[in-house]
Parts: sequence; C-alpha cells; structure tokens
Amino acid sequence: MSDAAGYADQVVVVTGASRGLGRLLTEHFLRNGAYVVGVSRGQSDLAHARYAHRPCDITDERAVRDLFIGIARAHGRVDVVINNAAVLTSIHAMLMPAARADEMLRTNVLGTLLVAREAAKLMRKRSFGRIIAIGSMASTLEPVGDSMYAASKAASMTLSGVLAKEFGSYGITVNTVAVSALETDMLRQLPRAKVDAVVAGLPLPRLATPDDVFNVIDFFASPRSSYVTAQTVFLGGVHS
Amino acid sequence: MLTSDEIETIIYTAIGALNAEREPNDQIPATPTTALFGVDAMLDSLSFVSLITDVEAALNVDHGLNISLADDRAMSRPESPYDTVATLRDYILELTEGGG
Repeated sequence: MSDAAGYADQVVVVTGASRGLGRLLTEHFLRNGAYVVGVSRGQSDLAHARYAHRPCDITDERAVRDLFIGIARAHGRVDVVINNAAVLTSIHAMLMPAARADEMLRTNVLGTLLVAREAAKLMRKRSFGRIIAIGSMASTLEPVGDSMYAASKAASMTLSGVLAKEFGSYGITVNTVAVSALETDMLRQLPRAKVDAVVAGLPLPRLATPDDVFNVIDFFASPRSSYVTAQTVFLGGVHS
Repeated sequence: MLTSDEIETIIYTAIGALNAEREPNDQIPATPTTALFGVDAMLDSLSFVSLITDVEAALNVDHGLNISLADDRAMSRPESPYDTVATLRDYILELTEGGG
C-alpha cells in the first residue's frame, strides 16, 4: 500500500486516533487515500479534507451505536476498522485498584467488541470488511506488573478469533497485530529498564517502528487477504 | 413516531431481502404470525441475525432512531420479542414509544 491509491474511496475507522499509534495509523491511511473517521474520548487537532473526528467513549453502547449510525449516513459504508483504543495501568497485582482493572477490561475488551459489532452490521451489507485489533506482546509474554493489561489483550485476541468465525460468511475478516515495543505515550508509562529487558529477549531485539505496524495492517486490510482471518501476527518474533 | 403498520412494513422488507436469497419453494411468509425464532421458525441463526440487523439498520439510519433490538430488555423478557413478526413489531413499537 505504498501508492497513494491504496485505500482510495475506502472508509476507515480508527479508535484511539488522537495520539500514539492510532494517530500514526490515521495519518498512514490518509496518506494512502482513505476517508478516515477517527475516534477518541477527546478532540483531535488533526485537520485533513478526508478526516472526520468523532469524540466517543467506546465503552458506551449507545454512543458507539450513534457513531456508526452517523458513519452510515455520511458514508454508507465502512471498509476497515482498527480497534486500537486501549488503556494501560502497569502495577503489581497486589496493588491493582479494581477501578483501573475494570477500566482496562471495559476499554480493551468490551469497547473492542462494541466497535466490531456495529462495524460488522455495516460491513455486512457490502459483503466486505476488515476488522483489525491492535494486540500486544504482553498477552503472551505476561510481564510482571501487566496482569490485567495482558489478560485484556489475550481476551481481545480470543474475541477476534470468535468474531472471525461469526463474521466470516459476511466477507468480514478479523485479525490482530500484536505490537511489540513501539515508542508511544503508552510505552513511556512503563519503566525503561523493563522495556529494554523485554526487547532484548525478542528474536529481533529492537523497538518496533511505525512502518513495521503499517506493513502488517496493510496486509490484513488488503482485499487480497480475503482468505486470511482469525490470525495474530506478533511483531518482533514473539511466540504465541 | 412510527405506526404499527410502518414497523410491520420494515420487518417485511427485511424478510423480502432474505427471500431474495432463498429458493422459490423456501420463501418466508410475510405475515404477522410468521415465526422468526424457535422451533417453528424457517430462519436459521444467520438469517435471524440478518433480519434483526436489517430491521435495526432501517430504524437507526432511515428513521433516526437509536434503538437496539438485542438489548438487555429483549433478552430478559419471559416472552421473547423475537417469536413472531407481531411480537417483534409490538416490541419495536414499545421501544419507539418509550424513546428507545
């Protein structure tokens, strides 16, 4: 998808679009010709003729329904959804506040389901859709301090597997890109020594770059990938 | 506010979309007593999902109603609103009168 026509006329929804990887992905899709609907709880300072920002709490069922009713009216279609929005609290399990644990489950799992559910209803009409979740190496490496985050990302991967089965007959694929360490606000919440130790243990011991993520996203999003679903690609060689 | 007849028409349109994909001898009748869910229904699970999402989309997008047909209220009722065209119609009427 290096050419500007890669996503021409496609409608792409990115959650968590205002910053971090979501912002980078939004800019990637815009560079490649897509109409992008960016979603986050707050506003975005991104201005582009093909960009519309929609503030929305993805854990609010009614708000998510409203979001996709608006997209249906504005565009009549959704081609690609990037379920990127996630929250992370890294702390020893003995000190984990229940409210933070609940927030991670609600955003990282429930929000992912609600967005996928409403998107699939629209995608079904055109018998085409690509739902891609941003996963994490934490789901399999199970790092100390990331109990609920790792569990929520593992749940998200399992969710994608079931959705792949339920949506497959509608021409909708559901896949996950499990990102290793990428220089974002979320990564900067973690102790650097901990990140360095995890990266050093990878088969490819370096930080991920945005282009590493774009490469796999473009593969999953491609119309040619109609026979690729229920898959997780772990960047950096993390074992599943 | 949608009338009972208008809601029934929306449901029949969704049944029509299903019938377009079915054999002539396997058409789902568009009547109030047509069973949509349960042992008497002609719809398999995928057809049922398609019907409900088509009706929901018509209510949401064409009529501007933020209504979910598969919410807790629907699931927790002793009498399922999905039994027949008439029970679905009445449930939608109840939701629209109650503001969703």
